[in-house]
Formats: sequence, C-alpha cells, structure tokens
Amino acid sequence: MCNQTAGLIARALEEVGITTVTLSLLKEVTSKINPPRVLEMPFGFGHPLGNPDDREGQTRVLQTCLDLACQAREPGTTWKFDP
Amino acid sequence: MATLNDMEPASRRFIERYPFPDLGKPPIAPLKTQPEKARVALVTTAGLHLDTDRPFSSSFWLSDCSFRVIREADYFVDPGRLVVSHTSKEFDRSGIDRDINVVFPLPRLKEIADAGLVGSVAPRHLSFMGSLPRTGDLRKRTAPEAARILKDDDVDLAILTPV
Amino acid sequence: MISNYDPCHVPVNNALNSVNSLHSGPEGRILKMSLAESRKSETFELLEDHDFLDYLSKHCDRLSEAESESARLEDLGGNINRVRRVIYKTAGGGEESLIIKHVPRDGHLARYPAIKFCDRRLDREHNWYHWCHQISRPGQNVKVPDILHYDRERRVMVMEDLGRGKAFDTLLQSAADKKTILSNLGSFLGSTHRASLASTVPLQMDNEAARQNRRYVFTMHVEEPETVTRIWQDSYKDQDRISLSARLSMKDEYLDKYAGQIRPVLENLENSFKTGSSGQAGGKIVYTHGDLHTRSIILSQEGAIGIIDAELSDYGNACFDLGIFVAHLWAHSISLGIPQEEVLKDTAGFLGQYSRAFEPGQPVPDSGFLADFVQHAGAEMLRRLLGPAGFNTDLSREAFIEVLITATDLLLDGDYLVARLLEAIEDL
Repeated sequence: MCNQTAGLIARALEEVGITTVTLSLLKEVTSKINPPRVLEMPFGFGHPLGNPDDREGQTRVLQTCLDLACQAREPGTTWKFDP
Repeated sequence: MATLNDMEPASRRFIERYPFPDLGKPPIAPLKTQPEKARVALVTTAGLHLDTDRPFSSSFWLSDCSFRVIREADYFVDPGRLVVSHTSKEFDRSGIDRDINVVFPLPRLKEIADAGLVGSVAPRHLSFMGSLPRTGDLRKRTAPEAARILKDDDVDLAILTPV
Repeated sequence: MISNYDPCHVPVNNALNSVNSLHSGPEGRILKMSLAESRKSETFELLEDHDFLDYLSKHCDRLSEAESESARLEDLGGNINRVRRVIYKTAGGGEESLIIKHVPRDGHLARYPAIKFCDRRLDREHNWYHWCHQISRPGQNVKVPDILHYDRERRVMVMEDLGRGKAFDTLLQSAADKKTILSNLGSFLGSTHRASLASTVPLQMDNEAARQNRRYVFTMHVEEPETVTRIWQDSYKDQDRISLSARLSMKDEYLDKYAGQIRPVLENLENSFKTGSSGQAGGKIVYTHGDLHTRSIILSQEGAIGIIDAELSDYGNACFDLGIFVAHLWAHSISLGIPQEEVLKDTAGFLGQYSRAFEPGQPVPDSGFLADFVQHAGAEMLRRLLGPAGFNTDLSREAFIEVLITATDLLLDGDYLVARLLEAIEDL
C-alpha cells in the first residue's frame, strides 16, 4: 500500500509546484494513482533503490530520477529503471 | 518489481476490495531550474523517524497518516537515531538495517550534491508510514501539510520512495 | 386530554379501538371488564406460555379451546418484549400460526435498571403497521403483518405470522434473488417514505423510545465507552470469533485516535434527525421504520419480504432507515467476502429503486442526500462494532477491522463513495 500512499503524496506536492519523481514497486497500484512522474523499479518490497551497499546502483537511481524530472513532458510519464 | 501476490493478506485485501478510483491526470510542475542548481528532498513511506519522535501507530487499521520530519543535520550527527515503525509485515527490513540508502538515500544524495550533480540537499526530509487503508486524512490534511513544509524550504524536486 | 405531542400516547383509529375489541367477540358475547380488572391492566403481565394461550382464548377470542389445546409455542422474545409464535391445529386439520407480542409495563433490563424502555412503544409499532396497510397498493411485494387484535391498555398485539424466513446471508449468496429483494425493498421504502410526506394521519409525534434509541445509535459509544465496556463484559463470551479482549483494546485505541473527529459528525446526525442534517440538501423528513436491520426483515422461501419490529418508528430523516439497512447489508457482505464492486452495485440497486419510488421525477438522488445517507450507514456500522448491540452476523477479526475502517471512511471521507454511488446509480 506504500505505492498508493507515495503516489498520493506526490500529487499533493506537485499541486504546490514541487517537481516529483515517484519510485514504484507495484505498478498495478501506482498506475491507479497516476502520479506525475514514475520510475518503475525492478526490486522487491523493502528495496526501492535495490541492494544494500550498491553505491553505484543507488547513485544511478538518483541520476535517473534527475533525468526523468528534466525530460518528462507529459503528466504520468513512466520510465523503467534498468539495473 | 513486486506483484499483488507478494503483498500480505491484510493490505492486499484492502487494495483489492477498495481499489482507488481512477484519479485522472495528475498536476504537473516542470523543474524550474537545472538539476545542478536544484534543491532536492526525500519523502519516504518507510515509517522512519528519529528515536525521540513519537512512533507511528502500530495498528494497521488505525491508518496513521501522519509524517515525521527528518532534518539533514540531525541525521548526519547521529545516523543511528533513525528508526522504523511500520505496520506492514511484508516490509523486508533486511536491506534498511544494513544500508539506509536502500529506502532513504540521504547519504547518497549528499554525495551527489557534494559532487555538484544537484544544487543542494533540503534541510528537512519527510517520512510517512505507507500502510494506509484509509487515505482521507492524507489527502485532506497531512499530504498538503507536507507540501507546505517542502515549499517553505524552497525544495525544487522531491523523490518519493515507497517500501 | 391526549396531546399530539405527548411522546407516549398515540390517538388510535376507531376501528381498532382496544375498548371495542375487549367488549365483543365474534359470536357477539360481551365480556364486561370489571373495575377491578381494568385497574389490573397496570400490572398486567403475560409471562408463561399458558398466559399467552389464556389471553388468546379468553381476552380476544382468537383461539378456540381445541385450538388452544393443540397449540405449541415458540419463544421469540428478546431482552424486553415477550413474543410468542403460536402454532395450532385448525378444525379442518390444517396448521396455522400467529404472533402475540406483549410489552411489559416496567420495561428494563435487570442489570441496567437505569435504561428504561418506554412502554408505549407497542403503540408505535401498531401505528406504523396500521399506516402501512392504509397506504399499501395492490401488487406491492413487501408486506407488514396484519393486525389481528390490539389491546392498547394491556400492551398486547396479536398479528399475522409472516413466517420464519431465510437467513439474510443465504439471500446475499444468490445474485438473482438479491437483486430482486433489494430492488423491492428499496421501492417499498421509497413509496412508504413518500406517502408520509403528504400524509393526513397525524404523524408528527415524537417516539420517546426512538429518541432514546438514537443515542445508542449515534453517540453513546463515543461518549460513554466505559458503559459499553461494562455491558460487553457482561454479555460477550470469549468464544466469539473476535475475543472480548481484542474488542476492548481496539475500541480504546480507536476512540483514542478518532473520537475527536467523529464525535461532531455523530452529534450532528443525532441532533438533526427531526430536521434533516444541517447543510445537506438531503434531509427528507418521513415516517421512518426506525430499526431496519436484518432481523426486522423476513425473507420467505418464495421471495416475499416482510417487515416487522417497528416499535422505534418515528418521524424523521429518511436516511436513518436507509443508512441502517445498508450498514447491515455491508457487514453481512464483508463477512461473506463478497467483492466490494458487487457490494457497491447492490447498494446502488437498492438506492436507485428507492429514489425512483421516492421521487419519480428525480430518479437519481442528489449528492447531498447521498452524503447524508453515507454518514448514517457509517454511524450504524460504528455503533454495532463499538456499542452494546452487535451485528446479526458474527464477524471475524479481519471482517471486524474492515467494517471499522469502512465506517470511519463513511463518516469522515464519504465523498469518494458518494461519487461512485452516483455513477453506479446512473448506470443502472
């Protein structure tokens, strides 16, 4: 249910002008809520940024978020993170 | 990527029985500045808070929509003070116990800020507790309140991490 | 002089005047009531089976000696009222039955003497059935019992037996039956409510018992949780699917978090019963049944619907009847694991027919009315979970929690549901 919660919060933040990127671990749920920008993660529950101590991977996740924030044109733009 | 089958029965039952109505197109606020100048905040639903803060309610059905503020300064002074109180049994905490970046990448964010990839790390970050069968309070009260806090801190970009 | 606004007295239609029925019988015998006997009506009590049989044969000539002798009785009474089903063999060899109901003079629960039940409530029930008969139309497939005898002084009513009926859960498990029944019930309520808007029967009288009851429906469990705890400790056994200790701790936690938010909502519902919830476009003031839970509704094997137990009938907000019924519909449905989409459709079907009958020119109810209805449903759900009286179905812990969460949503954030109901009703 976190995915539902995160999506709802993202919408509220975007409403006041804050750009958001929402990671998703459960696309059925995230897509229902339809947050402004979504990065679908290939990991399981509890691990939105992947494996512990994977510095390179985690940094790449953040970098992808920045790219998505800059490049998305349409509300609801969804990318898939490639691990 | 997880599926509905991976959810624990209580949460799954709520998601399936009470599917959220289609909310339609979301609002969209383009990034006002280049990433190298942007102030970035993290918002997680992992139920994190400082050990001196009130924990989130341990009864799933009470649907605690409140959030906690995690100041960047407080975190780095003593990362050990950050604890979890989350009702979901499916929240696999093995990752978070070893490396906070798995759910709340504040150290990683600081590194990329220091490297100049983003402008700055926001002074305040937020944690909600994501297992919410009822989202009324969230939609009407706590999420807008959270938005005001980040707005007050001139946050340009927020990254949201569910667990 | 009996005032129209005296809560415990109802002017009774002459045709059913209790004095007449005491003084003549089918063979024209006059039973003179002596002065001593008339005084005894104050302390008159039907207690044992033979009291009921005596009454039926001697006070109202409903049973002959032979029928009386053949009779067997079933005790249908609850905590306060004394009710028997009397099954007897007729001269022709067939079997018939009737219901006899007696309200004792001093109605109270032994353990809770402070809670008194107004002893004129049988008048209310009688009045509501009588009125339903007056306004009924041919072809109506929902009925209320025929009144065979009414003894106002002694607080006894003899009525038609509408049968044992089948369990509500059985109904919910058959899609076709369910659709028909909910539709017919909605339609009946819509037309009976509508008729009371223009009624010439003096209906604007307060039912004291119903007023007392509204406190139990809306606010008592929030304002006096310790009273509820005491009642639970007396009445709940740990063999229930959800243990007493689990219930108690959930109630405490829940009220700790939510009492502040829900109290004003519940108080508003309670206080505005007679006038309609303030600020809502709804608030249709009608002659309500007052207690439309699943045991007030008898479903016969053939699909006919009977409505009984109208002693809390009172003139007030139509949403009271609708909310109570739907709260029980949902609780049973959740307990049976019926998917929510289906529950919503069922609710829409019921409300859609209600609306069509209540306001033929406006078959889709307005959102103010639906919002009011939704809150009433939430209030009834909440009180069945947190108050002294529970649902007519034993909820598992998961179902209890789901109903509790749903109730809170309906009370505080019903807007999404209103929108979805409107959609579903429009799609009918």
